[in-house]
This record gives sequence, C-alpha cells and structure tokens, in this order.
Amino acid sequence: MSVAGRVAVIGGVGGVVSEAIARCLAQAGAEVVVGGEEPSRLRSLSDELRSRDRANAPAVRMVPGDAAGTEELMQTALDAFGRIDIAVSAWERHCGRPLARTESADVERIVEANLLGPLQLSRAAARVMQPAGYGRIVHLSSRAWLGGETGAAFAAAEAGLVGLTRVLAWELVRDGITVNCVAPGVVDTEDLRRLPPDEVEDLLRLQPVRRPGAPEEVGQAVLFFAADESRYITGQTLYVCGGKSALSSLTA
Amino acid sequence: MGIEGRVAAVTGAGSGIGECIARTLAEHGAAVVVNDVAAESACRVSEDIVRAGGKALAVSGSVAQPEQAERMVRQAVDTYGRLDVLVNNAGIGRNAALQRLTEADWDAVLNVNLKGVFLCSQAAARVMREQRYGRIVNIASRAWLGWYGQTNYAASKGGVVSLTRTLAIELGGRGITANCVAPGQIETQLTYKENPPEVVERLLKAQPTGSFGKPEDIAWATLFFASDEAAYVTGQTLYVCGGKSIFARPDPPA
Repeated sequence: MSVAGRVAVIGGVGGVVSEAIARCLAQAGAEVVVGGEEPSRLRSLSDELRSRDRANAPAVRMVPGDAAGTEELMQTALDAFGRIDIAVSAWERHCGRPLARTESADVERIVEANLLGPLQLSRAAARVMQPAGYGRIVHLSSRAWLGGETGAAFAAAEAGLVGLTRVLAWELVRDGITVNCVAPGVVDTEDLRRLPPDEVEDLLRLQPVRRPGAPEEVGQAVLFFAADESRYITGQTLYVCGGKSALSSLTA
Repeated sequence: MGIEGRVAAVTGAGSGIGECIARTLAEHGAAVVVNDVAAESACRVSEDIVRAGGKALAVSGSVAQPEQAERMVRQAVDTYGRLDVLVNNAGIGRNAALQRLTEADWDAVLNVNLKGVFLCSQAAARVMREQRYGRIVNIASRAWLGWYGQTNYAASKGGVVSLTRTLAIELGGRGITANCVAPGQIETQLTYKENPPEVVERLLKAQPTGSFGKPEDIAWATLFFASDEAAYVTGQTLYVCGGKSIFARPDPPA
C-alpha cells in the first residue's frame, strides 16, 4: 500500500493498538512522528521506528486535547520532514462503567482523550494539508458506540468521532484530503488481558469471528485508508470487529 | 496486500469495474477465474492477464442460473485446486421512474444483482467452508441509500448489503468473511455510452469531489477485503463514492 515517503503524525500513542498503527505505517515506508503521554513508552517506540535516514522517529510528549501540544506535534513533523501527509488520531481511553456511576472528572477525561484530542489533531492537520492539496486523516473510533451493555460516556465520545469524520470529510472534499474512521471491536489489548476469562468469553460469544482482533489488524485498516490509492474513499467508518457490528442496526 | 497464490473468481469481469478487479487481483498474484455472460469478453480479459504473466481462466455464464454459478466454482476448483476469493460484481441496470418501471425490468435487475449473488455465494461457500478460508466481496452500490429512477436497482443493492451481513454472521466461525464495496458514480465506458452529455453533467454536479471515481478505486477496496490481512473485517459495507454517501444532493431529472 502506497505510503512510502509520506509523512505521518500519530497522536495518542501509548497502547498496543496505537503502537501497531505506527509500526504498520513505518513498515510500509512512511516517516512517522509520534505524540503521546507516557515518556518511556514513547521513547522505546521512537527508538524502534528508526528509518533509513534517521536513528529514531521524532516523538512529542502531549496530552489529549491540548492545542499547544498538538501544534508542537505538527511543528516537529514539519521541522523534520517539511510536510504532513497523514494524520492519525489513535487515542483510546476506555470506560465500561454506566454513566450514572461515572465521576464527572472521568467523563471529562474520556471526552478529552477520545474526542477532543482527535478534533484538535484534525484541525491542526487540515490547516497544514489544505495548502498542500493532499491529505489522509484517519480517526480511531470504536464499534462500541453502536450499542453494548454499558459505557455510555465512551460510546458518546466515539460516536462524536464518526460525526466529526463525516462532516470534516465534506469540508475538505475539494482539497485532496480524505477523512475516515476505523472502528475496532474487541481487540487483544492490555485492557482485555486484565479481564477475567469468562468476561472475555462473554464478549466474544455472539461475535461472528470468535476471537479478539490483533492490534496489527487495526493497523492494516488504518494503513488502507492512509494509502494514496484510497483517494475516492472519504467520510467512511470501517468496523474491524469480527462482524459484531452486523448485530446492531445499520448506520452508514 | 496478501492475495499471492490465492484463487479468485470475479463475476461480470468481461468489462468495466469487474475487468479492473480481475486484472488487479491477478497483478497481486492471485489466479483469477474471469466470469462474464459474454464469452468473448471473458476470454479477452483472461488472455490479457495470461499474456501479462498472470494466471487466469475464462468461464462464461450467467450468475442468475444455478447450474452456471455451480460450474464457475467447479472449474475454479478443478483447475486451481481451491477457491479463496469470490467477487460478486456482475450487475445490470434498467433505470426508470416508478410509474414507468415494468415488471420485466424489476425481475431482470433483481435476478442478476441479488439472486446472482445468492447463487454464487452459496456455491462458493460450500468450497470455502471445507477450506475454512474464504473472502466474499460483493459489489453493491451507494444507490441502495436511494436515487431517482432506480427503484429496482437500489432495492437489489440494498438486498446485497443485507445478504452480506447475514453471510458474515453465518460464516464468521469458518474463517470466511463477507463484505461489500459500495461504489458511487464510477467512470467507465458505459458512463458516456449510456448517458447523454446533460445527464453526465448532472451526475458530475452530484459528486462532492466534482469528479467521478475510477474502476481502480473499486478494485483497490476489493483487494483490501480480499486480502489475508482483512481477516477481522466482516459484514461491512465500505462506500467508495467520494463522500456522496455522507450527504447526497439528488438533482431530479427535468
């Protein structure tokens, strides 16, 4: 898939899914600039993602929703490579609690990570991409917004991302910029591994593909949207969920 | 993307989008069964692929005839030993506003576009279940969301979207995925042959991008769903329509 020589910024690097996305893009030949909260994890990923010309990938410490940190991520990419072709928002802060039992501070953290972070990133990226007349913006959302037993705050933020994707796609449609969303279902993450086995089994029981997805499978979907060849695909949400979305009512 | 060494059947591959899909899969290393109701078209595409160093076999036949759908699958297995990918692309259109739409137009479109997908998928899934591996990619259409003069066509494609979701649910435990690519207005020879210039102009105005898509755009999305890497993606409909699915501006004919 053609991302060779493209420059990608990835915000929200921290968990295994975001790291898999960064690896997929880098292995396909993109120059990657990563932003995230945790310095040690950021550093080890940055060291791993060395490219032909560089000993490591530029990394920026940033918290989600912080406009200044987002600008720093963009500026770092521009300073290092002179342009930004691909922007991926990869934040994911799960919360499976019912809303009535979610603290106000947690609600804010969930919305900041899952919605405000991507909004700021897209906005900053669009400003760089518009004059260049080329761009690929990909948001990491979640299948969870279609329906589940709990986690209303998380679902609300992830649904917001789908709306953001659709309308931003229309706003940028004449600028050579596509905006799409990847919505994973159950994925083999640190969070999933912490759950008791019977809860995991319960999550997968009704799913057509009866296993959790691998982080790389999410990474491949992001890579697909990020490729040059996906030029006529915009405003779309692709569920990478082992068919679980087919158990919910249709949404475009 | 991983389809090297896989065996694929593409229906309606004698021209247009289907031809482009067949060529793309072959270029990426799949052996391709080129099906078309027009035998000479299927042969031409198949010969072209072989001449370019690929593997291909022409099998003519109508997808709406059970024995011909069966024959396509059997020939794939007899020749290449398996069938990994089925692309249900064959489709026809008979556009007319509701009051002018005849029963014959309704039946013809539903037969090829919907029943054909059922028959080919059923025949292919028998083989894929044994293999515990399969990729079914159905070419639906953005039009299923609604479009002037396409009651029959839109309903047939809506049927395909629905059928795909159930295929995904039924076959997910067997290593088989089923997904839809839903094209918007794609520029093929037919676009200009079938539409007078003022209609082409109107269609262009309805495109958010201001341009038509290309068959390559559809082949690209098909390739993704057909690849090994898309194992966890099933039951999905991906619109390749330049954003038209987000918000269409249907401009009714004068």
